[in-house]
Amino acid sequence: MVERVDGVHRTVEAVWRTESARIIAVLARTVNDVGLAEDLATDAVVAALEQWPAEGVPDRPAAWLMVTAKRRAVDRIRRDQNLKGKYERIARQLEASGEGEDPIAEADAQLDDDIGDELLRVVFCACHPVLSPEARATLTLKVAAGLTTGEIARAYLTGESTVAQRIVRAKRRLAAAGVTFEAPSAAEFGERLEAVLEVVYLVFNEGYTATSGDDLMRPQLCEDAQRLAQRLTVLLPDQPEVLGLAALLDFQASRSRARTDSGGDPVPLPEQDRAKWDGLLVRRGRATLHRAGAWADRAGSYVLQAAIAACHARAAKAEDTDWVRIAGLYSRLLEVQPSPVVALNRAVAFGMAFGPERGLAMVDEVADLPALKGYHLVPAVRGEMLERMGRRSEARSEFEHAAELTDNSREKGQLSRRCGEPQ
Amino acid sequence: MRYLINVVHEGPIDEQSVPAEMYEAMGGFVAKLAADGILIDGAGLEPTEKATRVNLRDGEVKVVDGPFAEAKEWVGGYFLVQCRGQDEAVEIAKHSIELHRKHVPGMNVVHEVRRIIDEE
Repeated sequence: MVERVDGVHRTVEAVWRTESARIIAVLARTVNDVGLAEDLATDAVVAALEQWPAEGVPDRPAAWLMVTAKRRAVDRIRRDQNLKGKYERIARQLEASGEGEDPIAEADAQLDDDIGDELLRVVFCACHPVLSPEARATLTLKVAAGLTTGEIARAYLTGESTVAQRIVRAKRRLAAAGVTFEAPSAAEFGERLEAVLEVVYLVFNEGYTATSGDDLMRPQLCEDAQRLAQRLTVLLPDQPEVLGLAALLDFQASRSRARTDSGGDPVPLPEQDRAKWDGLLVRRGRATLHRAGAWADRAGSYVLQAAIAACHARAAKAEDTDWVRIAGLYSRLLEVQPSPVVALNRAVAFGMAFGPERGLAMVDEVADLPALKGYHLVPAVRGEMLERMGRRSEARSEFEHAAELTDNSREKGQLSRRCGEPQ
Repeated sequence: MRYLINVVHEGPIDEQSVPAEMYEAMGGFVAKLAADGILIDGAGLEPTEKATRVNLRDGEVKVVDGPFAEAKEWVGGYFLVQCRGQDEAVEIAKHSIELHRKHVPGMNVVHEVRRIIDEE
């Protein structure tokens, strides 16, 4: 029996994962509120956990959850005096829609309908600017990516109650700010979309920076972010930055097997075993980037970063890398995203494309920028260039300096090795 | 995690018995998997009459063209999906099976969910 309950539990989680975004989207359309929709969907999951072990998993589990959520909604509205006034009309509607001949088939049809617009609104609400970036990521994972509260907690190395609280607070904040279930206006669309993409990228990086020893839930966040990005490319097929982000994530994820060695140390791009790169993700990334190519003249930062990643993916051997093209892309990237780190990367690319002297001169142009002060990659890059120029002892002292500046023990070790010092 | 879902048929299929609704429903399902970022790849395969088997048996290599008289089961297509675990892959398989049951009630078909080994 325990085993059976456990099996049902896993089935419920799997159904939640694939279907919850749609269920929440349809419910949110009805009650005009993402927070309440999430509550209702969660209620339905609780009911499933109670009923499925005894009654068996229904043939169409998603439709079952939807019908149950609607019935619970009616109950709740009728019971709760606060909700009653506001939602009485909705309760009547829900009741009428749930009393058809075959409510399951009806719910199934609703889930199969084109609800792209609603799914998009769910994401925009979850990434609303009234929320902190952390709250946005948490809520997005819950309502749009199908993660359970427990899964989010494990992924962010925190307690389940903390995550539950964060979600409750986020929903309250949305309600307090009067955020309804609406798409952003044309005037604010660009900014709001940027916030959405930022959340997706944040989630991806949370997983990407996890080391191999961590709980598998963390690296899994990369896949969750990729899934969100893929969905956005379907919902917003004409937005080049959406396509750019999805491609960028695929390219970055394609290297995940090659980017650390067996001891967990990071392997720099030129030294990675390219046979370990994931060809399917490279292929999907390339196809997505190709679609963004139609808007190449107004390429934004994600498209340009993806284009750079595509150059690396294209090179079968590190020596084949088209550094001239990459250098050009970095120059364009610096225009749209004028950050010191981009400037430093641009210097590296120019050094690879046009020789270390040129690269070193460009590093020195940006090295004194306040944002790069104490940044270990500045001396590390200088060391690299000097070494290639044959100025070995100067290079060594740069590596030494870089090793002092980094807190990351693995990087420290790697840099120290390059100084030729015993560790 | 990645899973290969092999769509395995038992016995011959009369193409005429597969209604247009089935193709439409399957197309919609595949589009949904792609839109959800779950589908990495997927396709139907040509019938085994057009297949070729390269066999190694008792040290001897033999190339045999289809159709294969002894074959009772044959792979008609596959989904390559990326998802959180086997339960989710199984749910995807069940969803596809439901479409088969609804639109081609007489068909016997197996969806075999296989985890792809990750060398990580």
